[in-house]
Amino acid sequence: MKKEKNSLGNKIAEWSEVPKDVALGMPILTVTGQTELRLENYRGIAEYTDSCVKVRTKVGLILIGGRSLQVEYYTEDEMKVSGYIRTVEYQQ
Amino acid sequence: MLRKLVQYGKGYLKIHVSGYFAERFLNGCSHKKIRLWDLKPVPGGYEMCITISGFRKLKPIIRKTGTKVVIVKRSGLPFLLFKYRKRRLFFAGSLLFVLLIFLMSRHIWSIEFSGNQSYTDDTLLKFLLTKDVHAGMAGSDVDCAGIAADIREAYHDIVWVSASVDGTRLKIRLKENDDRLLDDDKDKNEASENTPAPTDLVADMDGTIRAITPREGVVLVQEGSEVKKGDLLVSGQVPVRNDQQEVTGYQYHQADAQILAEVSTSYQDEMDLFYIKKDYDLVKKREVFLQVGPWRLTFGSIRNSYDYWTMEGYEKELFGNMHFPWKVSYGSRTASPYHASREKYATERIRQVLSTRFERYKEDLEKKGVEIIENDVKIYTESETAVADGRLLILTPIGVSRPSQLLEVQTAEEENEAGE
Repeated sequence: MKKEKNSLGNKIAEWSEVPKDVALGMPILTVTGQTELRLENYRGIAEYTDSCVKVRTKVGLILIGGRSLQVEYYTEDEMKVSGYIRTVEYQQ
Repeated sequence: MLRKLVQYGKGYLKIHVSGYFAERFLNGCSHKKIRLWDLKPVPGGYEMCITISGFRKLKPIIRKTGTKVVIVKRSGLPFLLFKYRKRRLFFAGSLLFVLLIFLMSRHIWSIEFSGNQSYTDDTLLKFLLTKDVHAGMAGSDVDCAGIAADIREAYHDIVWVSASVDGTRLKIRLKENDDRLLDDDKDKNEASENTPAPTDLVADMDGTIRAITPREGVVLVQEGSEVKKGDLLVSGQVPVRNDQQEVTGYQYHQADAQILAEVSTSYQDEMDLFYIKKDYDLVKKREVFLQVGPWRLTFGSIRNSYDYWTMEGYEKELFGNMHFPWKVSYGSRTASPYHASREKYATERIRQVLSTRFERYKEDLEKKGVEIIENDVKIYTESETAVADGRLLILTPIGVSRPSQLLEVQTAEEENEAGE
């Protein structure tokens, strides 16, 4: 993460005030309560069970843990996970 | 909801994907912009929904990822139509339905009026029928401006009309002239000004004059003078005198004055001492009905052999905003039997009822500008009835307008002849 923060791309993005999801392709997570999660800017699903969804992104893996998880839709731009979300974890 | 409808309309498949690289299959789909939804992990793989067009693009992904795809379920309109492709009558019916909806929606099926008070809907509908505007006519034939102009022309007291077509309904909003009566009076006055016919103010009841505020005409009574019904109070013929104070003619006016008189009037109000008391039984007979034009379909019956019973019910119109050859309505009626017994009102109750009525009478008088000076109304109870009886002394405006009897002008010659 530290490396990421000090990277040239990050500095340019900060200096030019361009949103980082656009400039660096960083993932955007929108969590509604504990039951809904929208994810943008990802590379693909690495693993999917009803208790864990692992998504590959540019900054690493994002691990969504919980119960009765279900991917409501999965497109190139956006995916939506519903169910009971307990954790959202970043892994390098 | 809309998305689901679109999905149903376009058709979709539920597929089962199994294999070692099932996740790669998912990523491959997203890379090829194939939309997947309702993605579920199941033993041995994943289940998901996919569009028909998306499914057709799957072949290279399946080959690359080495997964196995099995169709679990086909849903949507294209599959339904394919399934029932041999039912030609069904398709013909559906087509006819769409066609009828299309054709019928091009006609006017209901005419709605609002704002009419003195003219009923039926009257206006009959009028519109004479102008060839009726339910069932083609929507393109409706000339809203023409309808508004026709109504305004035919009914002079309708001051504003607006006609508009809302779907298959012709909405006619109108405004009637609320001041019609006042205008009529004004017209009469204007007419009388053109042809001045004098009117007098005549007493319409016996009484003693207490106050006079003259406005037009010659006042013939004084404060304190007693007048009988029919006596002339104010004359509309104002004499014109010459230098010798002789009457040379009359100017004609509409006599007008506010004259207050003390009038004695009687008050009598009667009520029965007995009334019918209704003790309702717990038993009731009820019927529910559906009425289509003259035909009525009933469930249950209120037919009975009770000695005394009351009936209550309701009727509600169905499809009120659509045009049908017959009115369709539903409702219910309930017959409740009761035992009738003749009971006598309590004295207190009689006093209360008669007093309330008398109070209301007094309020009505006061609203008319009448002042009550004295009243000796008392309540008497007889064998069958109770009576409130007495006299009231009231201070009330009197005088009604009557056409004058024209007075002849006595000329000097006639006077001389009379003198000789």
